[in-house]
Amino acid sequence: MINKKFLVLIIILLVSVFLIAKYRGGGGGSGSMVGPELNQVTESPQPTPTPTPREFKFDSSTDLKQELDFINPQVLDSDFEGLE
Amino acid sequence: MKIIIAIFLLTIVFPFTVSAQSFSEEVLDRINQQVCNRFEEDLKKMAAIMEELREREGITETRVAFGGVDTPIKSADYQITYAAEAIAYQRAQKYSSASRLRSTLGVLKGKILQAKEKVSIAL
Repeated sequence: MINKKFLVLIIILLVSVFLIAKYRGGGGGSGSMVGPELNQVTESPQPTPTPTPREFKFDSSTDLKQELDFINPQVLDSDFEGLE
Repeated sequence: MKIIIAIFLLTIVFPFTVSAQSFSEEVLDRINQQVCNRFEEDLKKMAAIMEELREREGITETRVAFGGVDTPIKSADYQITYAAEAIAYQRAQKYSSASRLRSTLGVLKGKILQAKEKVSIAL
């Protein structure tokens, strides 16, 4: 009886180690139990490309106060829509 | 026996929760970079305004980054530099909570608005 329980425990541990190794090591393919969205997580994250910010240049005819008024930094709710 | 089954179920569920959290962190990082890009553009515009202002005023001395902010123009330059450093710091941070990210981006927005106020005074 004790040996049977011990055997079951060993099998459970082996299965859990296998599953953890699979999902951490980039799991995917036909044998995967999760959807493609979660499969993508196991791939190495690519660096987010930073687009080059626009360069601004003003001349003597520019209304600097008006240009400054156009500046309006905001954190929008639409920025966080990707989490839904 | 029940304990063994419970442990088994836990080990099945655990990889899923780990994967979900990693996915969320990647999305939060993307959002962080996106907002920082927008803030950086605002800051570049402010820097260009100051550049033009100095040209109009005939100021050619080196910009101040570490103090000596005794004039409105120097104060504005200092605040813009400070905000730019804050954006660079924000870009390097990693978040696992959307509310925490939103909060720190709000603080960053405040620094940019502060820089805008100083530029407005200089103008």
